[in-house]
Amino acid sequence: MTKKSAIKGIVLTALLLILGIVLAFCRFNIPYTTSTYNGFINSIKMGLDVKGGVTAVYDAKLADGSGEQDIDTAIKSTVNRLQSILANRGYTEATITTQSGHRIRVEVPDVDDPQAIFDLIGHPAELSIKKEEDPNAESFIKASDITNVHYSMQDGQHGIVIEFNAAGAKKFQQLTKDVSSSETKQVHIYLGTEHFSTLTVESEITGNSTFISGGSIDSRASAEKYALRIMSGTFSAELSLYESSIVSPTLGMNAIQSGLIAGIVGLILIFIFMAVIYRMMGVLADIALMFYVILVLFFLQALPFVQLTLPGIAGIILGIGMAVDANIIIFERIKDEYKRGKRIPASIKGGYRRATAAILDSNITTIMVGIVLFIFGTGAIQGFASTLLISIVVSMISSIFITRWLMKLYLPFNSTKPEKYNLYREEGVNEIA
Amino acid sequence: MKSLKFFDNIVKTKFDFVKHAWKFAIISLLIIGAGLITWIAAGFNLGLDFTGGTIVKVQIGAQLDEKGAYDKFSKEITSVLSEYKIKVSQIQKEDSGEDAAISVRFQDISGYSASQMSDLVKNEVTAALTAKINPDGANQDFKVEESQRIGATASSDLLSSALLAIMISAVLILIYIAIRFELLSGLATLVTILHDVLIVCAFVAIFRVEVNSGFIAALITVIGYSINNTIIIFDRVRENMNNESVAKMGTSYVVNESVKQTLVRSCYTTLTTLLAVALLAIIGVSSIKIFLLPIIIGTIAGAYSSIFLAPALWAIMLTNYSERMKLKGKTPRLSIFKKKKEAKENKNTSANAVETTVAE
Repeated sequence: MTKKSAIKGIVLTALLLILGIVLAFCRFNIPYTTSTYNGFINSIKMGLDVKGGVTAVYDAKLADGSGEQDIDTAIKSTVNRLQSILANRGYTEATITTQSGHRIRVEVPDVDDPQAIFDLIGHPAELSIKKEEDPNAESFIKASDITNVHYSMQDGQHGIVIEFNAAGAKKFQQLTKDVSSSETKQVHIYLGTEHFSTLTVESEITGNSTFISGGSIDSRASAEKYALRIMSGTFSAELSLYESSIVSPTLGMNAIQSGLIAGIVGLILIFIFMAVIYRMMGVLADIALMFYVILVLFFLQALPFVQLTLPGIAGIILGIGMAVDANIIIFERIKDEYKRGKRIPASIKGGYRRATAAILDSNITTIMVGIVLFIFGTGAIQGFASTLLISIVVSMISSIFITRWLMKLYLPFNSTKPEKYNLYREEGVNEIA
Repeated sequence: MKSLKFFDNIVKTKFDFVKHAWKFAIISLLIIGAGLITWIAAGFNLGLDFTGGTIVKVQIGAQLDEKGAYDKFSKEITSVLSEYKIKVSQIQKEDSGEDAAISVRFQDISGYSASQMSDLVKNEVTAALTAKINPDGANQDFKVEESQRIGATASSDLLSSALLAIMISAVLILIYIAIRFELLSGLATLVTILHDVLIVCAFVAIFRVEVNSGFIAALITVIGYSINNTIIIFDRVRENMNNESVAKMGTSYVVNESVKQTLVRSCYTTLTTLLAVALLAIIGVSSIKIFLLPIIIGTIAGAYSSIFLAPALWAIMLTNYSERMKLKGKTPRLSIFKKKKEAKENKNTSANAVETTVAE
């Protein structure tokens, strides 16, 4: 690389770094608008432990169509369903606990309006499918026949897909068979006592799911709202609100502040360490580490299912550790190459070539663990796995690509002064031409 | 400059990592054994997340919104509870204005049944809290709400799914390493991971560190760190085994050289990671300390096992395997390295070709 293109590259990198820092940490009013830009760091969703949230306590009572005999089993299955609903909506860190007196306590992080919790859980409504247009008519499907309800779009229509279990699928098949041979060919769908939609059934429907559209559904948002209501209507326990309140972080009010101070001081110490041990190479690694911090913050706020919690912070520390480690591995290899007599540019090239396999192997195995955890884990484990994954992938990018790019930019200015890199030859070894 | 070279000079140590490995193995086994005995005798010190307990809401009202009031009242509540040997697990502020309250969660006192516990809280503790915070009844809003039993937040579901995920990861890691290295390195890596996890569990059991749901995350972090350390060493072993002039000196020599060559890196990396974690542990609040302690121990255990145990274990397994093969009159199938080497050489020549075209 020529000095001229290196200077261009350095200016570009410096601009990117400044832009990154501004986007990540600064809060400002966007010119000519009334809206405010918050910076990545202020937009990250936080877990209950670091930011608090909303707590709602529900009285649970055995639902009519639940099929469960025992209130405790009903509560248990309701807790599981609530957990999966909240996780699907991105709140992997929500906690749901049973409480004495048949109550369920739901805690949702990073929400500051108790009403918002109802948007998340929905106002439960029981779905029934009837042959007659009469709220009191017999329903052919029970809540316990439904396993899942979600939004879908078919033939350009917003709607809801209802998935049945084996018993439900059988009942629905029988119902559609009966109705399709009847005169009206209609089934009526109710949510609670509200008439929701009328379906015309032309033929028997087999399979374990069905698509409902029309009726009160006119947009994606309304379809999602109804899906949620139906889903929470399938709970074995009927929930009514007992109390709700806003809660402060469980780690204590000062936890974020002290954690932030520790993080910044720790980073600065690592920066100094790298710069002292590896001189210019260390400084370049430090700049790459700044990009790492900015990128991690960006992904933390951009991905919907991530809430930063105390365990998440450990995942980030592991990422910093691995990013620094990768740089140390590379630099030690460069030192080895130089000791044996290579020139600086050749040492750097050789060092990278020899270090890449080790870094890739160790990162790929850790990423594998992260992916498996994300797929098989539930709740908080899933949240932790996503933070871990972000942190390791970004650390790999930072140490392999960014440091190398910076090194390429710096090399044209100092390709013959080993002391700038803290490089020295083994005794008795001469430079290889 | 001299001090900087200190670590570089470690490389020249004459220490035989294979010959002395059994001593380190015994130290580890003693620690794990002590942990196992404590675990059998007393189990883990499970926290509120696993056991559940009692939640009490102390309503204080608008006073609580004043500056510094939360700290003052939460200290008072904590001290009243500690008089009854109740240890607060979680304390937080709820709502504001006249509804403002402090809610506390705590585990049962050991030896107390759930009903004894709720009697104690309902009568004596409530009276003591009132006497301390609102002795003259001046605060109209003050109220200690009836305590409630609260279930465990860490469900067995959470634990079993994490365990399942870790088992599946172990199999995948084994397959990956068997492909990229060879099977024995994979086995040695798994043993090392298990070692690090067991050491952390032993420390947690012996020193009665509270185990909450965050402990699972801490263990996973330790596993990640352990894999990283071990693979870096085995990468060096792989490289040296592929270098004929080094490899012909014998397995033990190769392992010793590889450990020494990566020693500087191991020390630096452990140091920087510990720096970041320890700082957070020192400055952070107590629950952060509880969470980070296993990670600190795991970081040290990970460095220790990757230097003193994993490579030696690999060397011993390889020697046993070769001897068994010789007894059977077969040549040990370490040709796996040879094949890799040839492939690598081919790749290197093509890589060199690419490099010359890219070079400026």
